[in-house]
Amino acid sequence: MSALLSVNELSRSFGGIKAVAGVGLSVDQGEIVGLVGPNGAGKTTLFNLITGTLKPDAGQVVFGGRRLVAGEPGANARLGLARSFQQATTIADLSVRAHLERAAVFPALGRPSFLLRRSAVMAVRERAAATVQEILVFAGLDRVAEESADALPYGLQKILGVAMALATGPKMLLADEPAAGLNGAETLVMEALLRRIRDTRGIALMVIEHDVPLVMRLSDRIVALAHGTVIAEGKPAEVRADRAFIEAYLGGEADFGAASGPEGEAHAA
Amino acid sequence: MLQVLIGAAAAALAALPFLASDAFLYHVAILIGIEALLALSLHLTLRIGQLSLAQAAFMGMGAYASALLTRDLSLPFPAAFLAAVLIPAAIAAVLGTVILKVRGVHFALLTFVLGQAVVLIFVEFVVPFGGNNGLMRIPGAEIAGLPLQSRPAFYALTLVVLGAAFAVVARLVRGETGRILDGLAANEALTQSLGIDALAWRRLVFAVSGGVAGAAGSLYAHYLGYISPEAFGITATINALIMNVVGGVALLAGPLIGAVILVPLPELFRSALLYQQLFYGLSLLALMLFMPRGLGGLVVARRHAR
Ligand SMILES: Nc1ncnc2c1ncn2[C@@H]1O[C@H](COP(=O)(O)OP(=O)(O)OP(=O)(O)O)[C@@H](O)[C@H]1O
Ligand SMILES: [Mg+2]
Repeated sequence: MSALLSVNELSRSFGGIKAVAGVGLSVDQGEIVGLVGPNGAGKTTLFNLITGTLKPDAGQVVFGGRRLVAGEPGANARLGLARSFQQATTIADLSVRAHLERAAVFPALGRPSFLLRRSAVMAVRERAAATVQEILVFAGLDRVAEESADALPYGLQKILGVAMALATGPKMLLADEPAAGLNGAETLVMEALLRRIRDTRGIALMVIEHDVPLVMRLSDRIVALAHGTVIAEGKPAEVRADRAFIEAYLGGEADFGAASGPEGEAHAA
Repeated sequence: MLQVLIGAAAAALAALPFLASDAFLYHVAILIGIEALLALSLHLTLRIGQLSLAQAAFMGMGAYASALLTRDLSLPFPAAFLAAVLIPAAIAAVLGTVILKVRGVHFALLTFVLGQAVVLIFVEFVVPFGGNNGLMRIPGAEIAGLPLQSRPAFYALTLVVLGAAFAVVARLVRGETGRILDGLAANEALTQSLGIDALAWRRLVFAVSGGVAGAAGSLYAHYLGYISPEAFGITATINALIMNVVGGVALLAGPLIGAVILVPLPELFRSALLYQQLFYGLSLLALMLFMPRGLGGLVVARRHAR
């Protein structure tokens, strides 16, 4: 089986800092891969390189059998590579529904020339309202649909970020710290949503997360990053036991193996 | 209700020269129309978060294209007008691919230099642009044998072009495409992540802005009958910027409001020639101090208040 996403020898420096240095990884159809690593490890930069927001110094990204063009995040999003952001992203004065309406129609309007494909654009416009309603319910945002997104609690803004990515109709979703800034209850809602995205829609996920128990529960596979390189990779249980991972991420102190898993959640929550 | 009132006021204002049938009034009204087009073209670049200081240069391209095509190649005015719109639009599209990646003050500086370079080309290439003397004896506008050179007729032509330009721009900055442009202005990273090619949309807006400026240039050339390079320098662009500020940068009607107020202003202070610049400057200062969102902003504030 060929991977949905494969990243090859991807590198990017900022000045003297090698933010991402020769990273290779792959994600299969419908797989959930957790991306962990300490602050400044290069996780967000890796996402930016994959989506084409940043141009790499070297390396390439293949998605759905196509080599992605660096510097073209719009085009890559239209191929089915969606993302949510580390910071909640809302547009001032717009309702939740309006955010999702944009997400549902923008892929069909990616370039001005797309307006000439009248029937395709019309079809998307006609479907948009139904798509939005379905996503609102799916993401649990239907009760706040008409509210201004700025005024929502932070947890719901982050959920809106994921919901917008979903409304573009992706094959894969890159979620950058979806649970950062959320309280315990909100984190559980987010976790359930991410799981349902994969389970009911077959969308592959790559999730950056500092909440290690959460990401270990959620992921089929973990990739650990430090100083821009992959230091450990494998099943959550394997990575959890990996020396390099423990040292890089936790300074070799904590043993969080016992505290994680669905049982440990009760204590955390 | 307010909108109907504003619409009625605008229509009355537009009809005023016809009613008064005064040659000077026609003249001022035509200049307002041409300046409003240039200001509108600048407004478009502001909409994509870029201050272009090359707008008068695009106007110059339209003016020279229209003048040369009618005078030296005997093309009919409508064809020359079309070329005067399309040539700057195409040049803006090609330039935009490269320069729109530059943002903020760097873009303003870059377009300033490009604009000056265009003026320099008009000066240096005496054939065909006529050097510092510019071009004389530009044929009057006419459509299908109907001469439009009388002031009432040319004013009517200006109104039609202005109306068409505002219709095109309104179509672009409102509705679905407006949502794309607003999204790019409000949160570019998010909007791109939803499948929008930022550069392609900005380039379209920049091309339209070049086209609108070109239309202003064509009207200008055929109305005056002569053109020279200095009319298309930085001063003209700065005036267009001031019109946007005075009229309200966030408003589609801003450029028009600004032109209606600012174009006649020097004429009003004409008797006090010595103090003309001073009055003009002080009026602007007062406007900016007390109405930072422009005069158009007053109307919007009212509407929000109720
Ligand atoms: N646009 C940029 N310009 C300069 N340096 C950058 C830029 N983006 C990231 N960096 C640097 O690259 C390194 C990796 O940053 P990145 O944001 O990818 O880390 P991260 O793993 O996402 O961290 P965090 O967990 O804090 O979000 C850091 O040293 C950061 O300072
Ligand atoms: Mg990050």
